[in-house]
Amino acid sequence: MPDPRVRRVAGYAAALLLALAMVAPFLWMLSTSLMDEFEVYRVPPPLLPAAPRFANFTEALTALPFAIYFRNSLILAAATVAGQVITAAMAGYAFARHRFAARTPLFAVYLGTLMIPGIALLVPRFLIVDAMGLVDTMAGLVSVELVAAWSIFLMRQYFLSLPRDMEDAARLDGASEWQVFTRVALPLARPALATVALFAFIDAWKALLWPLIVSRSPDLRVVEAGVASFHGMYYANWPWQMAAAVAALVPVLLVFLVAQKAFLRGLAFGGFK
Amino acid sequence: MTPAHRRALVLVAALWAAATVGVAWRTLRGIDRAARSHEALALARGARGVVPSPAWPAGLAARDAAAVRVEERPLVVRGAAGEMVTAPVKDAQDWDVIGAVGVPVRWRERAARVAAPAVLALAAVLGLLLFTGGRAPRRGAAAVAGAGGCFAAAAVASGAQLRTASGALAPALAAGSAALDRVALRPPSVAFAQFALVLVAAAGALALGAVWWHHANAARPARVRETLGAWGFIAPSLAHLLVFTIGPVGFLLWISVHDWDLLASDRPFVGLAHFRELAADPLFWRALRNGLVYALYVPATMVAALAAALVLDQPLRGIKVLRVVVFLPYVASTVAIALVWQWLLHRDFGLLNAALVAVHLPRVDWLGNPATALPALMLVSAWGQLGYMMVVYLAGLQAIPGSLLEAARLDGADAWQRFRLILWPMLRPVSTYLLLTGIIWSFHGFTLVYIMTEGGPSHATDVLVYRIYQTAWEFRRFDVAAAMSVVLCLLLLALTALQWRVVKGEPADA
Repeated sequence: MPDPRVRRVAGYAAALLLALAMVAPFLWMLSTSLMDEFEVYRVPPPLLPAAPRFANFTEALTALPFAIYFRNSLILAAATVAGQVITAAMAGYAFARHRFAARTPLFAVYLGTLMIPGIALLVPRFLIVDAMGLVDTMAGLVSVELVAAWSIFLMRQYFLSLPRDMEDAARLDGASEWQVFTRVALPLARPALATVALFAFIDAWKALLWPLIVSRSPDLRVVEAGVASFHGMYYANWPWQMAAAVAALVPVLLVFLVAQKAFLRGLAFGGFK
Repeated sequence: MTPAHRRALVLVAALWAAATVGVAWRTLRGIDRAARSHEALALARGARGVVPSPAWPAGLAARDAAAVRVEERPLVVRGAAGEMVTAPVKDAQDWDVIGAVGVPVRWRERAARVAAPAVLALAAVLGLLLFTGGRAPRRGAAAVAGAGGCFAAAAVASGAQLRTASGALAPALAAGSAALDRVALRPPSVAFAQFALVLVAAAGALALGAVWWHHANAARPARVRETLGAWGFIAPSLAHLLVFTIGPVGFLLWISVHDWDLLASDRPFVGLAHFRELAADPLFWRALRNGLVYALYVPATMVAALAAALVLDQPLRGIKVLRVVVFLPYVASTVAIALVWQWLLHRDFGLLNAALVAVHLPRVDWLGNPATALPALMLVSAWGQLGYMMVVYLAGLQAIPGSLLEAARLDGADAWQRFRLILWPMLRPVSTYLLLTGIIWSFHGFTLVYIMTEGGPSHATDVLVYRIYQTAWEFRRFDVAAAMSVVLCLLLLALTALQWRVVKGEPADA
């Protein structure tokens, strides 16, 4: 190794460069979102708006009914989070703690579903949801991601890592299985539940393809699809587009910043599914 | 057999019959729903005119196509004639939708049609179960027969309802226009009814099996209690997996070897015709090749990430902040990222080209030039993944014992030798993991293509997912899209199997 001080400086330089590269597009998004509609067409491009124009946000977000889109995205995300947290906690707990008939083959089936890429199932899932009469309904939008095998595995691993003593003690005290699960096991599993919830939220918020094919009417559009169609309608108005993009970013970034710890735990488990 | 078990059997049978009836009912409702769903609506909205039918609700017949286009909801037919089944009408070339017709559905008829299979199924199951006392094999046969009865009853009922509707549509059509070639009632519900009935049959068999198992294990109450409890915990996720993952896999294979025309009521088996069509389609091969080229950003990004990790692998202040910052692209909305990069890569006003001009280089039409569009998307993806890969490499580096490197240093190994002989081999599990998961992930990329290039210019960025999306939801060839999905699925399954084989041989935290 070269001189440690040289190495240190190189380290800081690399860290700074990397951080800048990661953040710069976001800053540019923010800066453009505050520019005048014609300011962006100047050559060379100004890096900062001459006078920040916050009206872009109110104008862009009312040009299309973004309030409805945000409501839909929140409903989708909340339902996905609730569905995945509940089913993952229950199934993960059963697989980790109970010895029951047909456990091994059942677990193999769950493992098998992990291997199947969701995008390959778009067509049959859509036709099934369509045949249920759920196309263009909130139920159809929400339905497919309510359970994720990945979350079940995470919960199972987590429960396996917890000691069973407290659960056994509760059983000796006469607690029912359901009470053992809700009063003893779940509180201990809070960190893993947070991880499942966080990833479910991020994935639901970023989902575009499924909402695109399953919901057509404007009052069922989610934010991602809304920004995408906004992009098509106001193609030349970059400040408005960037304002919409910034608005789409805010909720998920807030959640991420609040729950970083849960995020890093999820990555350690094999994050990018 | 104890009374409790008998009661349980009756309960299961009743629930089973109820579920079958529910499916049948839903199927019949589904015919109306089909008319209401966006497919039929979109078709009708694109229609050049509405064919007046004798049974058409007053008011709707008088409307021209423009009026239909404006008002989506009124097409949902609830008029003077009662509820309607609507159907799009295609022209003689089977290409364009030129109209729509409708016939009324009478509630009483429908109720009768639902009640029939209900009674039949209930009688079959209950009768067989209650009156074939004795050994398990006979009860098993009874259960299978009951399931078959339910299945047949519901299928017959839904098919009959469809035929009635189709039959009623024909004269309406004949009265319409001679230019009309055929009318088609879109029957997704029949296929779905079959799918749902298979699920119901499976669930029913499972429930009967559970009761039988409970009976057989009556001597071991603790085991019975634990198993029932555990299955109760698993039931919600299992049900969802059956309907939305395991079922669809079978359904996907089924669609890929059948003709699936949205408007046709028959769906003949065509063998591998759709796969042959794909093999002869240069655009499919183009998309496959684009996907493979696109996946090359993964190893390229890994090299950069490893380099960054090597430089950053030392106690630095503020490294925690960096670890958060590098995940911004992953958590951020992909549409927002696609938009800002499209803006950054803009030919005339983009920041990147402004930088090129500033150093006296020519402008590049990043997304408009077939030669640079795919590399541009790869650049954006690399930007999004670099940080994640670096953090994983950093964790891998920190797991390598420092004493190993120290010993190598004392033996006189230079930096390159230490990297080649120690770090690289020890990081191999991490690299393999990143490479395979990265490539699998790269085949999922849809949003960037959808927003930034729409597969263009001239199919330079057309990847399989986008092709599937277009084939199914723009060209309405669900069968060909299914065949494409099968190919994609096999490709990714092979990669996943490879990854699992590699992981198996490595420490779990690799």
